[in-house]
Amino acid sequence: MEAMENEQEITVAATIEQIPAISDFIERLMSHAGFDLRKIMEVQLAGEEACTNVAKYAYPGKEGTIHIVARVHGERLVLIIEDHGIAFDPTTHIVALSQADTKDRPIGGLGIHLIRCYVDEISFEFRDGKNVLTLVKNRA
Amino acid sequence: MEINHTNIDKVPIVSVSGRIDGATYKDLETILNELIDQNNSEIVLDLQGVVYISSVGLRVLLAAQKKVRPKNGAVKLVSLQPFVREVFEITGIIKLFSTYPNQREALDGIKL
Repeated sequence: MEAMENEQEITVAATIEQIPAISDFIERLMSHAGFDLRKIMEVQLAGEEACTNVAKYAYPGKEGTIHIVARVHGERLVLIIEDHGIAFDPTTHIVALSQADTKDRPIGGLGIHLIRCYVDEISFEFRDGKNVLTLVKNRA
Repeated sequence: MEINHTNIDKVPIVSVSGRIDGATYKDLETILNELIDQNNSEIVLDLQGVVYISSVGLRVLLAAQKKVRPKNGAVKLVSLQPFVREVFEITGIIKLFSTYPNQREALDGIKL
């Protein structure tokens, strides 16, 4: 198969109301690149959870933005989510998942767990004053 | 997302379709809170038409379950679609709910 390259980006206000715009952005790119619906929903979920955490916690008491770059490179989708908010590394956040503490588990933990479940790779760096979260989804 | 509310044998049946996400969860939260405020402790939530749920949606359902449990009630989940069921399972939240294949079986478990 010929390697397919496509890159798009979007900047939205860091609010939960922007989740549909982010989901539509992900769906358009992945659908165009031929990913199946299931994979698209998995990435939408990971993207929503990451952006929800930014909307809730990154900019306390002030407005901010989320910048997303989505790149399809061959059989991989790379989603880079950036914000200028409080530094937070979700890749090192400890998520407790035992049944006993399910009721009291912080919701942020749920979201981070879902991100980890539904992407193939996750990495984070704090660079130039920005949180940069990179999520990778393989086609197969 | 669309939400329809009916009653069968005085038990509220809430049927949802579409996506329960950051844009829509408040509508579901509102109707569940109204039903609980009206002293409904048993609520059947039919999710047959729901293809997607994120953690904000899970939190709404968890909060509703937490409110009705002290009244010996329950939020009963009906017709979980594959992706939604998987989200419930991998978060462990499935263990906090009873699930049913259809509304009739959910209602059969309710003592009137």
